[in-house]
Amino acid sequence: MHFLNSINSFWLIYKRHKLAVLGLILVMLFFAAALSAPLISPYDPNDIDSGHILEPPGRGHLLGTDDLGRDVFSRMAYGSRISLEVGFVAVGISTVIGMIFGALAGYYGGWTDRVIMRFVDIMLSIPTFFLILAVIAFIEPSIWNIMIVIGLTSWMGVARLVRAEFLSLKEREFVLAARALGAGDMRIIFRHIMPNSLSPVFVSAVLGVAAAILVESALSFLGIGVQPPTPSWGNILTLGKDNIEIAWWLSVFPGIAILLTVLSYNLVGEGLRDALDPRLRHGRK
Amino acid sequence: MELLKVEGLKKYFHLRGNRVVKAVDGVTFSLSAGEAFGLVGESGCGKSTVAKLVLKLLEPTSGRIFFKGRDVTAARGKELSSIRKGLQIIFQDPLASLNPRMNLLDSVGEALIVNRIVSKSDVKERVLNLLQKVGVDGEALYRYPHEFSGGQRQRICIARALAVEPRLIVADEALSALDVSIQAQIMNLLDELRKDSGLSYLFISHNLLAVEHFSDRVAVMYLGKIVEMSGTNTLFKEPLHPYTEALLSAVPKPWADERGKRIVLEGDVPSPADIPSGCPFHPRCPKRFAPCDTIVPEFREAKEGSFVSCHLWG
Repeated sequence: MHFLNSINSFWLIYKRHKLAVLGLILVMLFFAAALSAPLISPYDPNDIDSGHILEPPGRGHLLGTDDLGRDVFSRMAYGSRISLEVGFVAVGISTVIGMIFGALAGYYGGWTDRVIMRFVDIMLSIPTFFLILAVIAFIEPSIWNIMIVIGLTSWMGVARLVRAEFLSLKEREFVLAARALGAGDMRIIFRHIMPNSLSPVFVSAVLGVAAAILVESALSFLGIGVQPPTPSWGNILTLGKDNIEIAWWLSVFPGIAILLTVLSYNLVGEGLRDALDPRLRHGRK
Repeated sequence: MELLKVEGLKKYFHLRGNRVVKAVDGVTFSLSAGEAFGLVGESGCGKSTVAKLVLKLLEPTSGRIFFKGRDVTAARGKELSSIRKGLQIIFQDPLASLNPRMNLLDSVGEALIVNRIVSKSDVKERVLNLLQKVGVDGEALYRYPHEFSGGQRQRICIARALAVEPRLIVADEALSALDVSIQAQIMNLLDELRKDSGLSYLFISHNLLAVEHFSDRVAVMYLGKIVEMSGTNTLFKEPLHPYTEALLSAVPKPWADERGKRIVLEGDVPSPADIPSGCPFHPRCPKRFAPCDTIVPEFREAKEGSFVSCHLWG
């Protein structure tokens, strides 16, 4: 009952943010497209058709064809799966790592904290994209490697957030009371502090999905991300760049897809931030 | 026998630039079984730090704490958790003392599970039992802290503390966040528990009337030190230390003929990072004289059972 109540009051605040609602609708649309890619695609995304090369958007091919005669709409539908997969898996990895490091640093403090936070500073001082480029140079650029590399290079923000939450929560009376009652460190971390520190992590995870999708697109565009023939929005854009003077649709549609996806996740993230803010919540009632 | 013995307890916090805050600076007292010991003082005098030190939620800088003759300060691991079962704390803000994401059953039951007091299947029954003791409706078992009133929340906190069957409860401003009528209810509850199960209390408060009603003996703290300690009746009738006199004169009294002259202290409480020389109270003391600003007064027994640190009683 408490759970339903809080969902309800959460939604009341969230829906005041009109753009965030729009973002949520877009996110759900992209999800639906990714899930139903085999159903909505009129062609096999990898079907080469030498008779219909670089055809403009029209009746046979909704968003036109590429330089091998493949249907752009079908390739983009399948490409959205890649984007979402990369986005969520990468964020999953970075959130787990960030939460573990942040929790250890915030809870134990002292040397643990200093070592972890200096490591975070070091990681932050390296431009993420170049770090990823450097790593990809040594390993095979497969979709799994991309996810892992993005995840391993984007956990620092989460670690800082979680550390800050832990620092303030560990002094709170309910945590002190639990300790006085004999609860151990693990129980205090996982039962008492962690559940109360999730709101900002949740927001940052949603924003992180957008960032990860953008990085994946950029890597695929540069040819070191998802490898052809597997379709991804980024590598469709590469073909668009090669044919930009004769086939505008190869650049415009994946570009719009990336833009809208990133925008909608950012809008959702901001809506969540407002809706999860306890100060706004108490104001309501 | 002494249930709790605190000897020369000190807690210094180190600030940037080699500044040291002497939050608790040599506190000594003891408390026997069944006794309610009041600790009063203004905000920032170190009362709450003493509470946290007694429960070992903070590590003391020096000094020792004995509970039932066992050294709390040196205890670690199993030894510590077995001592802690005898010692519990109730905080000022009952909402902040309850995990907002845990329901009543989990909050109160946690101590039972962690300390393996009852088997998992009996937790619910025992929780209901505890709630009944403190007067909270058992039907609320699955509700969350924000769904209760302040008084109910404090009762829940008390039930949670009682779960481990403690001998001593440290009540750190346990009444201060509550309405006056609720304060009375909670105080009666604490009184009942004391009569029924022989609990002892370390009752920390800035509310002198509550302390007078509740405690057998009282200690007055000023800037991290106990300046006066004696039986409640003695202390309230014949305060020895000028600071105690000033505190007592500030208590509102309902009858005009009981109102004495209000002693208004000059200035503010000095920062605990910058404690005055000699007697720490001397810059504000209306009765200061020659030795006060240079010599720290000893804490000594001025009359039978009454201890004070003041040159007037040297």
